[in-house]
Formats: sequence, C-alpha cells, structure tokens
Amino acid sequence: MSELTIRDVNTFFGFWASRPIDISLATLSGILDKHKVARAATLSTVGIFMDCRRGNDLTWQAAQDDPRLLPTGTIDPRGGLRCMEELAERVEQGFRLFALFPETQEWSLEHACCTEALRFAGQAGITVMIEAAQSGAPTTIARLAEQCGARVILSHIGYRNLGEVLMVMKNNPNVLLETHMLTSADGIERTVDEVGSERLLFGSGAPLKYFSSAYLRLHFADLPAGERAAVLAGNFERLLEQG
Amino acid sequence: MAIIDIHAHYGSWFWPVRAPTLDDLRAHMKKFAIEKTFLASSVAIMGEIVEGNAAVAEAIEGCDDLLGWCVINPNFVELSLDEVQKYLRRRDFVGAKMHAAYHMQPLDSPPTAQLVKAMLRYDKPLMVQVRTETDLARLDALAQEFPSAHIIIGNMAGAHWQVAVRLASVRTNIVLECGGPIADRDKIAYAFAEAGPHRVLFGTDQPLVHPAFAVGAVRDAALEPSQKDAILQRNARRLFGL
Repeated sequence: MSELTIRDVNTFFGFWASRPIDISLATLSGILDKHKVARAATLSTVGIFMDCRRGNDLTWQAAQDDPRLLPTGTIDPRGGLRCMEELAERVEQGFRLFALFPETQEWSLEHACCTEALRFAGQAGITVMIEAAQSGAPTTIARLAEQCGARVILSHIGYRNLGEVLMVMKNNPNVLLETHMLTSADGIERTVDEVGSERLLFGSGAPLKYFSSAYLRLHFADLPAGERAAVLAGNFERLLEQG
Repeated sequence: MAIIDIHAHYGSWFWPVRAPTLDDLRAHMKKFAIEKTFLASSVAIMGEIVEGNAAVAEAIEGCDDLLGWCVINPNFVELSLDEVQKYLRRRDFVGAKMHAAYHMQPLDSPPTAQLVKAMLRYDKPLMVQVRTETDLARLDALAQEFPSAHIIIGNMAGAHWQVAVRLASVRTNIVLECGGPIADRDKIAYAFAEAGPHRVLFGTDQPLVHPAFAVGAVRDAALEPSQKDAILQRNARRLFGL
C-alpha cells in the first residue's frame, strides 16, 4: 500500500500527573518524525491540568517553532467567566481548533461555560473537540452543537459508545469523530458506511497512546483508497487548514 | 515474526460489532501472521455458558490454528464444573475464562474458589477479565489462595494496568495479556520490565479490537525485537505448552 499523507487531530505534549511517562514536545516531535506525520493538532497539557492561559501560550509557541503543529486551544470551565475571555482572545490570535475535557476535568456538559463556548464557536466558525466516552455525552454534545450552530469532533469514541454516536451523527451533520479509540474490527468501516468518510478524522492520542495502534487500524481498514486518504488527512486539511 | 493471539472472541455482541466468521478470523490471522487464535464465546461470557462453549467447540473441531477457552461463571457452579470437566481435558481447549463484569461475583468468593480448585487437576490457565481495582485486590487474594493456579489478567485490567502490573510483579502465578482498547504508550514496556520477560502475553480482544490496533501497540513498545517476540509468541508457547 502506498504511503499516504498523515494529519493527526489528537496529540498532546507536556506532562500527565497520573502516569510516569515522557510526553514532552521532543517526544511528540520524535513520533511525528518517525511516522512521517505531515501535520498534528496539539495542545499543552498545562492547559488541561493547571492553567489554560499558560497552556495556550505554550501551545501557540510550540506551533510557531514547528510548522507541522497546528495549535489546539483549550479552556477550563472550572475557571468560570475567564474562560470566555480566553476563548475570544485565542480565536483572535489565530486558534481554529479547541479541545474540551469534561471527563478528565470532571465537569458536566450542562455547565454554562460549555454552552457559551459552543455558541461562540458556532459564531466564530471554529471547531471544538470534546471528550465523549461516557454514555449520553455524545447525545448531549450533539444537542448543544445543534443549538449553537457549532461543529464538534467527538473524542474517545470506541465500540462501547459507537451505537449512540452513530445515531447522533446520522441526525447531526455538524458532529464529527476522531479515531484514536475506534478499535473494533469493523468500527471504522461501519462509521464510514453510516455517515460517510468525510466526518472522520484520524487521531492517535500520541504520545500518551501508541501512535501505531490508531494508525495501523486505519491503514488496514477495509476502505477505498480515497476514503482512507480523506480520514487520514484530507478531512483535517479541509476543516482546519483551508478557508 | 509469528504471533499467538490468546484473547479473541467468537459470536455476537450487543455492541455494534460484527460477529466474526471463521473466514474473518483466518483472514486476519493470515494478514498479521497469527499462527494460533484462542477463542472464547461471547454468548457464554454474556451468560449462556453451555450454548456458547458448545459453539466454540464446534467451530474449532479439528483445527490446529483455533483453540478454545471454556467460559465459566461462579453464579452457576455446578454447570461450570460440568463445563470444566467437559472441555479442559480436551487438547483444543487451553483453559478457562471468567468475566467479573458479567458474573459480578467477588473474585475471592467461595464459588469462584471452588471453580479454581476444580481446574487445578487440569493444570491449565484461568484468564480473568476484571473491571475495577477492587476486582484486582480480590484476584490477588484468589492467587494467594491457589499458588499453583496460573492466572492471566485479561487486557492487563484495562485502565487499571498499572495496578495489574504491580500485582503480577509480586505474584509469580499471575501473568498479563496486553491487548484491548487501552493503548497507553508506556504500558507494555512497563509490564515487561516490572512483571518480568516471561509474564506478558499477546492478545487482541478481537473483534472488539482489530488485530492491527493490538499489533501496533507492540510494534511501538520501547522494547527490543527479541523482547517483542517473547510477548507475541514465545511466552504463550511456554505457558500453554505449544
């Protein structure tokens, strides 16, 4: 099979307190080098665990230093009103993708800040990636996205919640899916059949996760070459880099 | 590099996952150089142990490349004892399997102990799928009660793999199967270093996990090729006498 361009919508750098693992920027860069990843959306975990403003600064700087990196901004609703100021500033700065971590940060999707952030995203035309592993989360996110006119990417979707996600995606064209946990033997193919390849984006979760797990899963997916290329890179480019 | 997949399923699930046919399994085996696949019945795991184990027995009859797990359930001790007696004396059944998330019995309960004791005469491993750290603590108690039992922690206990590795590092009768949907980048090398070079075995958890995903994890693990080979096949050959 010929080599295809890879664009990864889900990477991190920094630290992860609960794991003694090196997920430094250098480690991420090494993974991108090794697997010839053309572009990777990334964010500093400082933004997740400590201070979203400082994290976004680090993310932006990393992207300035490495043209492969597309900065993913984040806000932490636990910070309240400051979040919206941060969101507006970062959109002004040039961030086009944001990621929210309701499950890691333990806040409800009904949080006012989440709704406000999605409303802002809808108006600004930016994309928001949201952790959605818990049952019901995809449904809630889709409802909010529809209300707010926002485009969202569901993250942490696997075989356990794929049934819910497929129902949600069929009814909500603004809901997309990143693939890092889409592990099952026919999960990718089933999703493409049901909602189309244009709504999946390759994500690896690197360097927290093994890059090759997500990559080989897609590499060996039973898909026409054009659809595989769309998932692997084309959709990322279309949604996050063009226009 | 040949592979032995010690953790796969046969039959349908309630999730949107296609039930694999034998052709599907063999197509994956050919693609990924998997020499042998050990199958547990999904139907048995979900509750119908007699029907499910019989389906696996029929599917693997006369096969060299497909072997079976006998699924047991401590809520049905007499039934499970019959299944153990029926299948564990067969060459094509490699051991017994339990899923704590489905049977919901504490892993150190008297019925569970009764089943483990019955298995000892066959000298075949017990693979246990756990979901919580409490399950692991109880599994530890079970392992201590039966030091001659060979216990495999399926999927390295998922998100609790760090605890599973610590357990395997102190209990010589516990080993780890490294497949499943949790692809945490440090887990395989950590398990290899802490539990020991003979104590990590390869499994996919298919069809819930595509073999490519599981193979990708070992490929990226920070280990030497000979160490990866131990995980992919040599440790299974040793444990199962292949």
